[in-house]
Amino acid sequence: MISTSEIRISVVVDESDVAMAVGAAHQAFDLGSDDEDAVVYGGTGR
Amino acid sequence: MALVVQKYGGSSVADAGGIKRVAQRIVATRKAGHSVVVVVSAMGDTTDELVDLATQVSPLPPGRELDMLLTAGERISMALVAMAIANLGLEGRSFTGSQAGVITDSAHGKARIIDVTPGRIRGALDEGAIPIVAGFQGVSQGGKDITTLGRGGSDTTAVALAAALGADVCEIYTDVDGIFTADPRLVPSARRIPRISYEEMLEMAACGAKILMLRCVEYARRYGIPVHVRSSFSNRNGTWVTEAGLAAGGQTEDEAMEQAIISGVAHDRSEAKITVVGVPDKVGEAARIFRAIAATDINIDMIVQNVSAAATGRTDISFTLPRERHVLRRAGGRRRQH
Repeated sequence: MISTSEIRISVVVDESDVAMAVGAAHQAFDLGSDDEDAVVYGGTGR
Repeated sequence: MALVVQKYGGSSVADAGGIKRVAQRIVATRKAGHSVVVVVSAMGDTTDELVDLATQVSPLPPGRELDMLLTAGERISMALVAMAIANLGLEGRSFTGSQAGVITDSAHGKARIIDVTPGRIRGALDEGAIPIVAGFQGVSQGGKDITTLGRGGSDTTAVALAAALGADVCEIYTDVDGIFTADPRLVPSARRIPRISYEEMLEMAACGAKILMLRCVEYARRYGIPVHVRSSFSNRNGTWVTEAGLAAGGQTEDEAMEQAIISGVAHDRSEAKITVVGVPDKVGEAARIFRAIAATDINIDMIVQNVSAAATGRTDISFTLPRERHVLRRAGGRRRQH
């Protein structure tokens, strides 16, 4: 399921595929950086 | 000398060590000559643990009592932060949302801030104390009941206080170095965005980016409060959320040209997809479905109507909405869930 607006493209995937889908979209649009990895200092992400 | 509102999230005050580190940062800001008002969240996962506890006692706890329970979390952290500041030789003075003048509507669990009357906060500042305000909570205008603002609500408390006090900046301290092109927990190569406009941030927040609550960004835009998102664990530059003009203004033309058209990737795990199959393909049928949903106070996020099968004159309509079990139950009717 895909929906678009003027400033956004949304895609619905199974929850188990979320991490892979986010990574793939991020890479496809060259959003990443070759510098050091982003740091997550704390928290459990709950 | 500036007036700075600093908000510290749950992970920043997760334990005694974190609280001491936060107190040092607050005192350092003050010693640099600024006035500081602090907003704190509950320690670590306290709020989630309290929700778990509540649902063990009752599968559907009354909203008023759930809010009364959850607001206990910020009382703990605000008092501890005030004590840690006292230990460094300055006066921290803690205030509940109600004492700080955060007035909301009466929608328990997702209350909206109607007004902020920060008389006591101003008074504390005038007396040289550092006000420590409980985030996430307020008091309802009519019933004078304790309310909570929903997940991420402390960010909204901070921006609303910043607006009411006429602060120069609202600093949101969290457990990552700012706003990234994707959730760094999922994508380690995600890049920090140095400046982002209110509009872009609104869209990211609406699509599930948990770094800032949607209402917080709306509030900041409405009152023109610059929001500085950064980590309480490092001294890196973080991200400035500002007007679009300002967001581009700090850059050279080349930098602006290099800026990608796509700001970032946000995700949301709380969506459920529902497909209504075999809907007669004629005017008014979709409206009938969505009127039924609207009547239960559910906000629909995405809608897709599939291609109609010419032979049968019927079609499938899929839509997504927040996945909360009790909400789904109330919607009723025939459905196929994925």
